[in-house]
Amino acid sequence: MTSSKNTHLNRRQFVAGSLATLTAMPMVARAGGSFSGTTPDALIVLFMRGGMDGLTLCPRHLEDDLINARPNIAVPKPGMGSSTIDLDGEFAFPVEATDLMTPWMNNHLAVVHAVGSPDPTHSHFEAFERMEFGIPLQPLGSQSTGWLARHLQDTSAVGNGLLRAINVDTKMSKTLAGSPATLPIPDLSDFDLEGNPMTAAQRKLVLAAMHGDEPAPVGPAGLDSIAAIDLLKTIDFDTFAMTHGGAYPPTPLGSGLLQTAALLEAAESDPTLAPDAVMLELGGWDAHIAASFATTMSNIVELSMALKAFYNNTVSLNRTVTVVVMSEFGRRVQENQSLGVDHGAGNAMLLMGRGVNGGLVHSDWPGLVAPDLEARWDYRDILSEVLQLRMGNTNLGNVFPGGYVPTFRGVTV
Amino acid sequence: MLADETRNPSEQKASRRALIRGALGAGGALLAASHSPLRGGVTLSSGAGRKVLAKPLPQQSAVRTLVDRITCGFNYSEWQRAEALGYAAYLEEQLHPDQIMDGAAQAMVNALPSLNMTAQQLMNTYFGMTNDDDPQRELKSAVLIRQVYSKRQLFERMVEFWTDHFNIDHNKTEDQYLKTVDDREVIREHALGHFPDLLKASAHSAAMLFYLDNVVNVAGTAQENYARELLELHTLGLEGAPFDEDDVKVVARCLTGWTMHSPSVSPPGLPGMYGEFRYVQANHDIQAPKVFLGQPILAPYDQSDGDQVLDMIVTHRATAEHISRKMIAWLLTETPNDTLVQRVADVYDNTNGSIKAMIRAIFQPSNPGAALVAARPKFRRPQHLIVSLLRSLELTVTDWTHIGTALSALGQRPFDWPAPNGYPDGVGAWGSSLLPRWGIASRLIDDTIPTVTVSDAQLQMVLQNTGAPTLLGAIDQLLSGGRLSPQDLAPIQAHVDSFPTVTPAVVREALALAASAPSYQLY
Repeated sequence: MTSSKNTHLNRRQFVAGSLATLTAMPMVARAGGSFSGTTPDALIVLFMRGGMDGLTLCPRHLEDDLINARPNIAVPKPGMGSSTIDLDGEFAFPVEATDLMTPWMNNHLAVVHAVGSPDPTHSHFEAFERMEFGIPLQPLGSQSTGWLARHLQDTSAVGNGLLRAINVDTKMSKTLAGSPATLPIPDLSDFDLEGNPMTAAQRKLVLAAMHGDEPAPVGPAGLDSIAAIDLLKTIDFDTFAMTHGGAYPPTPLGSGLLQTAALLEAAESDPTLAPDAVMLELGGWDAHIAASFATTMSNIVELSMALKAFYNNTVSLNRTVTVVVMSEFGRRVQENQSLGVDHGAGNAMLLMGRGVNGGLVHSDWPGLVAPDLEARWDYRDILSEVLQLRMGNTNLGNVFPGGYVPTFRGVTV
Repeated sequence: MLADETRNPSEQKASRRALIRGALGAGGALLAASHSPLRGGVTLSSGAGRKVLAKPLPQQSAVRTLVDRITCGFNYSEWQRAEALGYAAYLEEQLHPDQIMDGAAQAMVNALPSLNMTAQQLMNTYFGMTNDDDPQRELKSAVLIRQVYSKRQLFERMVEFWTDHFNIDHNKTEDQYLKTVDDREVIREHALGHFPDLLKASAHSAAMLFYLDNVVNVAGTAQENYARELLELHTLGLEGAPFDEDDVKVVARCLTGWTMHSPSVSPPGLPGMYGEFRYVQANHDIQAPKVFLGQPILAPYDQSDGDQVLDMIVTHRATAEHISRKMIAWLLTETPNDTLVQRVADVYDNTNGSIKAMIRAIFQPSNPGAALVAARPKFRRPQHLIVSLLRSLELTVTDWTHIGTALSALGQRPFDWPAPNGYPDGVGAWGSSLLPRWGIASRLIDDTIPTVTVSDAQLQMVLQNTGAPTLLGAIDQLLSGGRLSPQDLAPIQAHVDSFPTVTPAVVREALALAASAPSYQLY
C-alpha cells in the first residue's frame, strides 16, 4: 500500500490541474524481489469458494478405498466401459473434466494433490481468512492484507503500474486486500464514467481531487479507478469476445477469463497494459447433499471448459501466463447419509501454463484415511514456488509471514 | 471506544488534510469558494412555502448521529423530526414500531400479493406459471420499499441485520418461495423481539432448513451443514469458540429428522401443508451417547434433542457476546469496543436476549463514545447508498426491478448472497469498488433510469427545503445534514463555478458528484 501511495495524485496536482497530469502519473517503481532475465508471468488465481472436492476433480483409482468410502457418489474407476480418464495409472479425471486434457496432453497442466492448509478449521469463513491472508497458523487479525497483495507490494509492476491486479468481482477478496493499484471490476468491458460525456473530463478531475488525500482503500481506489477508465478503454473487449467467446462457458467465470485473455493479448502489443495478477472465483462447491454434489459436477464442466478456452487463447503469447486453481479446503473422505460430503481438509490444486511442470500429478500421497485427506503438502509451498520461480519474488517471508520456510515441490519448470 | 474513534478513517483524513492544507495553501482558496453564494438558474430562497429551520442545527449533535445509526439512510425531514423529539424520545419511538403509523409504506407493499401467502399458497399460485419469479421479485422490492418509505426505520434496519445474520439465498430452488415465509414469520416477526425466539423460529423455518440442507439430514452419517453454521454463524461464533468438531457432529445428529413438508424431501401422502416444519422420528439418530459442550443430551432421543441444543446455545455466554459484537458492528462501528461488547452481552443475559434492551444499551448516551460517535465510522454498502439517495432526494419509483438490477451490478441485491454468512459489511470488501457507485449516483440523479424519476422542480424543492443559502450548502444539508467534507465540496464548487449559469443539469451534476464523494460513502 505504501508503495502505491506516492504515485497517487495529490491535491497539488489537481490544483495545478489538467487531465494530462492524471494520465502522466509516474509508474510504480519499487525495490524488492528483483527478477532478472525474463518477464514475470502473469498470475491468474482462480479461487473455488465453498470447498472444492479434490477427490472428485482428480480421484485416485489405484485402490478401491474411495469407492468404498463413497459407494454412491465416487467417480467410477477408469477402465472397460468407463468414461473416466486415466491420467497416469494412478489418478484420473472424471469425464466432466475432459477439457482439461488439452493442456494436460501438452504438459501444461499439473495437479497437485493432498495439498492444503495446516490450519485445522472446518469453517469456510475461518479458512478463507487464514488461507487468503496467508496466516494458517498465526493468530487471526495478525494480518489484514492478502498474500497476493503482499507479493505485489514487494515486486515491481510489469506494465505501467496503473492497474496491477484485477479482482473480477463486485467486491475485493481478502487475497487482494491492501494490494497496490488493484480494483474489483466485474466486467472489464463496461468500466466508464457515466453521466454527460461533455463534462466527463472535468468530473474526473473533481473525483480525483476528492480522493487524492483520502486514506486507503477508498482514496487510492478512487484514483486507480479514474486511471483504469482510460487504460481499459484502449482494449477492444467486444471484438475479442466475438472472435473467441464461443469457447468459454456463458458464466461469470467464463466471461471473466475471456476478458482476462483479451487484456493479456492487448498487453502483447502495448506492454504498459500488462497486469501482474488477475483473480476470479467460482462458488457453489459446498456439496453437502446430492443436489449440491450435482453442482460440483457441473462446476467441474464449467471450470474445465473455461480453462481450456483460456489456455488456447494464452498459450502462444510471448508472456507466460500461469493459472493457479485453489480452494479453502477439500471435502470429507466418506459420503454422508444425504449423499454429499461435508467439510474436509487436504485437497487438489491445479496449475496451468507453459511455466508449469505439467502432465503430472504431484503428490506425496498419504493414503485415503477417514475422516479427512491429509494435507501432506502446504499450499504455501506451491504458491511460494510459483511466486519465486515464475514471478521473481525473493521476499517470500513477507508473503507468508511467521518464519515459514517453504519447500519447493517441483511444480514449475 | 474512545481509542477506536481516534483511529477511524475520517479522523485520519482530517489530520492528513490539515497537514496538506498547511503545506499547500491552495486548498484554502477552494475552501472559501465553497461558501460563495448561489447564482444562476436555481433559486434557493426560503420563500417556497415550506418550513425552513430558524437556525442551523448543530452538525455534530447526538441526534444527527443517531439518525445515521438507526435509519436506513439519511433523510433531511426525518432528521428535523428527530431533533424535535430529542435523542431518547426518537430512539424509544423507533423501538416501538407497532405504535408508528406506517400507512403509506404498507399500502405499497400490500400491492404485492405474494408477500402474505403461505408456502402452500405460493406454490399453488406460482409454481410452473409464467410469473413464477413474482415471489422473489416482490420480496426484493418490498425490502427496498420498506427501507425507503417506512417510518419504522430502526425496525427495517434490524430486519436487514437479521436477514444477513440468518442469510438465505433466493437462488436455491425452493427458497424462492420459502424465503417469503421466513422473512415474514421469522425475521420480521422477531426483529425487535428476543433472540432466543428468533433463533428457534429460524431453526424451524423451512427456508433455513432447506437452504442449509437439514431437510435431508438423517440418521447414519449425519450431514453437518446446518449444524455447523448454527453454532459458528448464528449463535456461539468463532471468537474463542467453545465448540469443536465433535460438537458440530453431535448437533448434526441431534437435528436429524428436522425437515419440512415438501414433495422434494418427504414421502407423499403425509398430513401437512407445503413448507411447514416437520419432524420425522424414523430419520432421527437415536444412538447414545450424545454429549454437547460437555453436557449430556437427555433421552429419550427424539425431537427434544434439538430443543435441548437450542436451549443450551441461546443461554451460552459466547452467544451473548457474539450477537452483541455483531449488533454493535452493525449499528455503530466495524471495530466494536470490548467493554461495550461485555456490557451489551450482560444485557442479553439479564433480559433473555431482548433485542430492544440490547439496542438501548448500545445507544446509551453514557456509553463512552457509543451513541456519540462523532465521525461516521461505517462505509455504506451498495444498498445503503442507493436507499440513502432515494430517501434524501425523494425520487419517484414506479417499478423496483431497475433498482434491483442496479443493486445486482453493484453486488448487493437482496437475498442473492450465496454463502450463509450474509453480505459482508465493511470497507475492506466494498471500499475499492467506487466507479459503479459513481455510476448509479449519476443515473439516479440524471433521471436516466426508467421507472425512477426526479424532476427539476422536485430537486429544487428538496434543496430549498434545507434553507441553506448556497447550492453546495443545500446539497450538503440534504444528503448528509451538513457532514460532507469541505475538502470534498470544494472541487464540486469549482466545477459548478466553471459553468456560466447554474442550470438544472449543473445542479444534478453537483448532486451526483457529492453522492460520489468519499465523505458521502461514510455514515
